[in-house]
Amino acid sequence: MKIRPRKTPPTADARDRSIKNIPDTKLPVALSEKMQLLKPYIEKNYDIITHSFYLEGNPRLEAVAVYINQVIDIEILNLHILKPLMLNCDREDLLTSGSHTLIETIYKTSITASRIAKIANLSSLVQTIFDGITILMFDGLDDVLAIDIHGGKSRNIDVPPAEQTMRGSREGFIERVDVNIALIRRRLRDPNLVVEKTLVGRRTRTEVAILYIDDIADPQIVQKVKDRINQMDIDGIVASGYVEQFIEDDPSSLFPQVYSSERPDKLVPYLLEGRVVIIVDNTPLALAVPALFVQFLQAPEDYYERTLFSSYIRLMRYVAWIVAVSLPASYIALLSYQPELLPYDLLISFSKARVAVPFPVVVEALIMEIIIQLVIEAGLRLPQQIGQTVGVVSGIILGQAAITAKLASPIVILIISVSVICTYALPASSLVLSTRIIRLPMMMLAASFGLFGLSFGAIIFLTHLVSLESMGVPYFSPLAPTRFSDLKDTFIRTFMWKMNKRPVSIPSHNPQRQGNTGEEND
Amino acid sequence: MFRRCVLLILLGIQLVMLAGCWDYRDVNRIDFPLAAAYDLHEVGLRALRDEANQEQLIDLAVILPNLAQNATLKFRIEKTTGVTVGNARGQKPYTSTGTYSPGATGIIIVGEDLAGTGLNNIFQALFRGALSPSIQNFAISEGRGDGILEAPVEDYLSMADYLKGILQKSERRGFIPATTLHNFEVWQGPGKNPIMPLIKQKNKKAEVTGTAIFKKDRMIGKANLTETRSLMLLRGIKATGNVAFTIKRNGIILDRGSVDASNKRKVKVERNGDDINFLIIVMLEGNLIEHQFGKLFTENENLQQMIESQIASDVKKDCYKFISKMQQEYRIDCIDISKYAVARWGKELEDKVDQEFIENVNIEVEVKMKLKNTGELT
Repeated sequence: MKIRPRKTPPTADARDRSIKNIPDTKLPVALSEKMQLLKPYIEKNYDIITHSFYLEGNPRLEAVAVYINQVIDIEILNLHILKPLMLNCDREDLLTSGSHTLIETIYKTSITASRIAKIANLSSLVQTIFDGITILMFDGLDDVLAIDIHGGKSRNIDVPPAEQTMRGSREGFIERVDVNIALIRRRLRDPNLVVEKTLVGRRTRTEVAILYIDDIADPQIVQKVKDRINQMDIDGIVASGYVEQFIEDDPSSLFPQVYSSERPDKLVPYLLEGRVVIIVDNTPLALAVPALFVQFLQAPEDYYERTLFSSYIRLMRYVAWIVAVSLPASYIALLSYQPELLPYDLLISFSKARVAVPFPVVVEALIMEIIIQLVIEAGLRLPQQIGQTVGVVSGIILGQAAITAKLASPIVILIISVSVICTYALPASSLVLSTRIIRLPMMMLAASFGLFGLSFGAIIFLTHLVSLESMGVPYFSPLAPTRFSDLKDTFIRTFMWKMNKRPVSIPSHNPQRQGNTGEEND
Repeated sequence: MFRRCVLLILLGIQLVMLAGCWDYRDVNRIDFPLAAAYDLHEVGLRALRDEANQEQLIDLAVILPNLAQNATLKFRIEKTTGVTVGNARGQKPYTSTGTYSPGATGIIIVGEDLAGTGLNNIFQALFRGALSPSIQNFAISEGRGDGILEAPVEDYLSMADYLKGILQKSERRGFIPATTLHNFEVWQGPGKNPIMPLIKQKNKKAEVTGTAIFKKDRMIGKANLTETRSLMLLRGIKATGNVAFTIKRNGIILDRGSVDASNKRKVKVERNGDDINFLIIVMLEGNLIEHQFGKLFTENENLQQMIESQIASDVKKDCYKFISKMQQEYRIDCIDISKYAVARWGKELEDKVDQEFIENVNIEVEVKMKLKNTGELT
């Protein structure tokens, strides 16, 4: 299902679009002229540092290093670039070689940093500076050197706060795309792992890495991912969420169609199943496509723990999702329309609890739902310690106050609290958000039409789930369409040694995952 | 997109037709009766009705919980009178604020006078409507039903709670039949007749005193507790209850005790011309609860067999007594065996089975008792 019309692939890439206003002038030989050309682009930016120095020798060769403060690793600049050039550069030898090879001689003999490129025109020079690359310009040489020594201060690799596990790795992605790729590479030393990079955003020029295993991933899906990313025509992106919204199949759906995670150990198995991983610079959340609905109810622990426990916990998560979506709605429907379906004692208990509340059941439930959602939102925005306090205060005091003020009955507080707990028992944050929203229309349907409304809502959502696709792959698979072989890793997780085939729900051109038969070898 | 919109609109219309916010009922504005009692109208007892012919009226008494937190009493008893059960319910708005929801009633007590007139016409209101999903247990009261509801209870929230404990799944606690609305309807098929537990207010307390015997929907007799046990065993209602035994030899009591036994039955039917012979095999199985003379089973190998034989013999004797009473006094099949004959000779017996059938058949009983556990390692 394709809701949003997609454009044909753009004729120029993001880089071309972003630098089209800068003339493509060939750089002059004289350093002063180069600086003169560059001046209009950097003079208003105080974070761009120009550092003049001389290369060792007689006569000394004047040079300028241009870089952005705090974006590069200043220690590498000093130790591996400036120090060798200023102190250890054999100027006599350099002069004997022609100007054509002089620059090559400089970077091959005198600079110990790696990842060096030559730039010959102004537009590339300006863009490279703003990409955070260190530039070395020399007097008398028309080419300049671009040295990638990205660095500066960034967050250390840490435990992913929203996806903690008991037995899994404690490493989570950080904001640096290269570090994040390395975290995957360290776990997946397969030469077939392909890492492709592209730039997204005319102005932010954010690096986006596309990772897949060449001999497993379906080429059509890989191509589709690349096309959709390349079609992005946007000023800038600052998080992977931007990419997610551009590449998903049905942007108007409440359900996430792109899986996001900040755990490398979660994404490596996805790569091994034939999925494509997208890592966006400056975001600790990586994306994985195609995504299936059942995937959002699975957690890495499912594979770290033993089969029986994993299956039990996974089943609990399904129960939690159903409860989170339908418990308040069921409460409203039963108490408003079909109270006789409840056991008598429970019914009387509910009735007694509601005697003091002047509102209909739905208003009471909505008041508590909105309060709880606002408390959650406040908790997310506040510092961790204060957030916890707000949670406790709201849980105990607000709940008690609501009962005393006759805004809500104790039962509705219990119902909403249980549904919120069940919501946060879900392992995927994107499904948590969906569940929080889905609960509201379900409550309104139940309030308007009782159990019929609840059934109607369930049918609408199920029909929608069945019709969704992620990168062209049926989203509700392996349930609909039913892929029986994948059911062993859906509601339950079968024994590891029995999972010999990759999931058929994700197209791949190498279906065999492992060769275990469960039989002992002689 | 157009098709989807049309589909959604159609589904929406269908939904609106099925239910809607106009059906909303606030749960704390509904009167959920805990128990109800139906009686023939006692002339002059109520002043609410102004019909001239008060003999044909029915009194309805219900126990309703008081929901208010500061209410002095946990429950109240409301009484109305009407031409029918439904009409009696219809008088509720004159005396009560809540919307009445009869479907929640778990216990229905019927006065024996009313039960004697036939219940089907009266209970029409219970069968109709979609608001009766609960299991409703029936009992017949000796005397008026509302008297039972009004009896004081100290250890329970209300008499309804006490009756619920007594009547619901009662066959698991003793040889007491549990009759639901469903049973009452099903047991009126060809060759079948309902039974209901009989309760009575004794010493300001309600207790089970036996079984009410019905001919279709009309109560025709009563069975006491011993007869009720035989009735349950012969009828094949699986129950668990206590059976006492006394072993006597030459006028001397050798042992006395009781067992907790569960029952099963098998029925065989044979025909010899016009004579139909039934053989009911009652199988009892249970554990010894006590035996007073304390002799060890290891010391007396025959003791277990003696107990089993004694119980089988006692039960068999009681069963024959009940069968005799059934054939001579009740004259209906209240042990539910005619269905076996109907199953074999259906067309021939279908019309006769409810008319002078059971009193003319020969019924043999065989009782087998097995002590599973004596409490000793034998």
